[in-house]
Amino acid sequence: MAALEIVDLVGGYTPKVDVLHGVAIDVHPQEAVAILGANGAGKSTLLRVVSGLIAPRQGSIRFNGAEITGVSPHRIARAGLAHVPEGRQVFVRQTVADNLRLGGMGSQGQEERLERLLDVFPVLRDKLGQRAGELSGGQQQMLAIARGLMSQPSLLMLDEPSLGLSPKLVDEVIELLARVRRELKTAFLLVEQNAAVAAGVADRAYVMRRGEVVGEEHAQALLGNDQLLSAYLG
Amino acid sequence: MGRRRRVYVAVNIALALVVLVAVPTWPPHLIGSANTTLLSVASLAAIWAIVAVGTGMFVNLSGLPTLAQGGLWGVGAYASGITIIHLDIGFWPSLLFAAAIPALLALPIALVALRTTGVAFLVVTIAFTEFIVLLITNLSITEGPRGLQAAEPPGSIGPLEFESLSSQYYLYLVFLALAIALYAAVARSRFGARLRAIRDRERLARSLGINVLVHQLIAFELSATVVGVAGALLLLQQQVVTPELFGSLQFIGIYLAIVLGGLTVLGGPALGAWIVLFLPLWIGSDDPNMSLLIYGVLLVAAMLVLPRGLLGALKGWTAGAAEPAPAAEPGPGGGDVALPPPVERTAQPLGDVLLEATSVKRWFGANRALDGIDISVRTGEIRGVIGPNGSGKTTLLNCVSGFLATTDGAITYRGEPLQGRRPDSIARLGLVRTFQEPEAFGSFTARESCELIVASARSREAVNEQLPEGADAVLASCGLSAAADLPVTELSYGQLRLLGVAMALSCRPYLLLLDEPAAGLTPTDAVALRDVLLNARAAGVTLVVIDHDMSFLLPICDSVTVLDGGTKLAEGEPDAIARDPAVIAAYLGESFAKRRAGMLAGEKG
Repeated sequence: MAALEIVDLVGGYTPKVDVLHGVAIDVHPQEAVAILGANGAGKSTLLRVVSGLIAPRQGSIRFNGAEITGVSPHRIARAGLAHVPEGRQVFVRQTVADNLRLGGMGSQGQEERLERLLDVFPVLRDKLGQRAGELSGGQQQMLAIARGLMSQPSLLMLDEPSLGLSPKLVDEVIELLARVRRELKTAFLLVEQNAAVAAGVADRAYVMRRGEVVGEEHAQALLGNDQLLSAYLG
Repeated sequence: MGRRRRVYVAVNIALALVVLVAVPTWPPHLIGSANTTLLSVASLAAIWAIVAVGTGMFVNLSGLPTLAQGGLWGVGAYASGITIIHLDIGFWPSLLFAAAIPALLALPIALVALRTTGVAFLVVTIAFTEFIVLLITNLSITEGPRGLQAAEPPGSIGPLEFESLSSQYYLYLVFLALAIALYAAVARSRFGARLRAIRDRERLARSLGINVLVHQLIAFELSATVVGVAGALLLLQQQVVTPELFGSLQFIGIYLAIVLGGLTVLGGPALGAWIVLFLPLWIGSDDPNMSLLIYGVLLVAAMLVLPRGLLGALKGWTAGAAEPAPAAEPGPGGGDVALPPPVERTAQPLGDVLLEATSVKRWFGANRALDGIDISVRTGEIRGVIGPNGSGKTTLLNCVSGFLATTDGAITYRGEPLQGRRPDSIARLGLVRTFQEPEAFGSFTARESCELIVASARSREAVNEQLPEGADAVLASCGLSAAADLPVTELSYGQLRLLGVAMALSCRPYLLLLDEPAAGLTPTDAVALRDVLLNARAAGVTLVVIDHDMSFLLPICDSVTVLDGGTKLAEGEPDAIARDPAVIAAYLGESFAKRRAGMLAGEKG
């Protein structure tokens, strides 16, 4: 059984204008899947529909076998599907520790979870008492990812974790996500524009264009294959 | 506007005119109330409508919620009354005072209030209105709480006499028509377009050389004049005015009219005034508490059912089949439109120093975002600026473009110090910047955005004559011709990025500062952007480009400056920078170094 199974998803922000035109993808347990595509292809919209922030007009989303279409976002999050939105959205006036604890609200064994995550994210351990707004862009991105992991999700959705990061930090994010997969056995659904990140983290990649899935590849096949990417992304 | 729609609007205006003009001929007790006549309510409604139009004009074009117009309305009424009584002048000369004194008083309050936005702006304007009410309640010249009486009918103008109530009613209608005409003229002028641009995206407007304060101030003054004149008319109609008429709570009735009728539609506020005044009477209540209750319910209902107001909703329905416009084709210029031929990057002799920053510091508390940066950019150069996140790249750009004051250090552009200049003033010198997130004026099309700037760029202090003039030429040079008439909200991300550059080029700058222009672009869009930048350089524009995409940035740069922790880590030609171990360690990373080595090996093999 797939961890996440999306069938024929149609919808958008307003009833009249669809952004997604029948998207079908699935993610297996412990698998990492990337969604590549240009801006405006509907990638972020797809993540927002899956996490319940936007109701789809048509189609079905099943998470661990249960239908979650139309379920409210906080219930979906509690069911173990976490969403790290685009653009390093951390609570800038709160400390790093409080940011992390907010991510684990309502789940058991929060402090142990925090300890475990700080082993994976050593950068954050030194900064626990600092306000999140004082972190650099890369550190804020790490914090956002760690916060998403605090609820012990079985599937973590990441929206452009490499956007606006320096080349070196992009490398670090790739390494970090690989480590999270290895150690926490979390499945990933990753929206990316950077093929190197997709190839470095994911097993498979879907390519989206104008609200449709136009291709599916082994993620490694995309790396360094500029022709293939240009054909897909335009 | 389509022909059918034009006819429809004309028919509606004609109908409204017939109804309004016919009011005095109607049976006076049509509204079923013993102590108010139809004519007096209609007269009051016309005056309210003028206040609503004057206020709505400012609120709609500036996006700022003001209650100061309540006090200014009162100032107009009292200015008229006091000059009639104490200067012994007639109604017509007193109108001049009713227009000028509110405008004069509006100046200091606007200068204070316009430094704020949102709730703070609202609070400052409420405070002003309450202060005015307090003043007129306590001064002796205003006759205090009893109110000021002045029953002076306007003298006749030629054959026109204003003794009768119905002729005075027509006078109010004429002033209402003038107010609406003024609103229409302002809204359609270039000045109005710049105001809307400021409302849509203030910092973008600043970056393109628009003086925000001056524009908002003029709009506020116009609004103060209109409501001031309406004050004189109110005194004429009521024959006595009391301070509490002009309190901020009372003024909420005007807001109800504006919202109910439709803020964004020209005739909306005026229509709303009529509804607000007549509805309680039709419902048949003289009880002020009852009408307050009705106001409240109406306001809530209007917000829920008709967020764009009655007239706004009507406009929406009759604009008919508001078909969603065809979705913009992704990619620059809609895909099939040829870009201008790309210019190969050629070695170009560099000119004199254009921009020079010397030991620039910018501290935020203990955080030293810039800690002594020296950078010198020469005419004709493309300078890349790279560095880790948080190294101070955007802060440097903000300091140069005037959006941030420096803590220490000097910045000179064309030999002149930039210190103390505001962003719009710097932009008018031909130094223009873009923003990290693509920004656009939400209520404009791509062409309108560029036209707005082209028009205001003509009178600039420094204009690069080599760059194309005219919005269409600029849009074509950026490959946006096919998207020119699309609302900016329908542009794809890549097109928005290119529009940002097109708007900056519309200023015809000498120096262009770009903050991550390639972030989030597809490979095709990135190539289009590269060509736009190289073409701009060929037309004599010097460029400073921040970006994290090395495959985009390094090939177009003459030299690269690397920042780290607010200081300069390295500077030099792109090749040398890409090899620099310190830069690899701090920024590029080992995998970049490996890929680069691989690329070089590939070239050799």
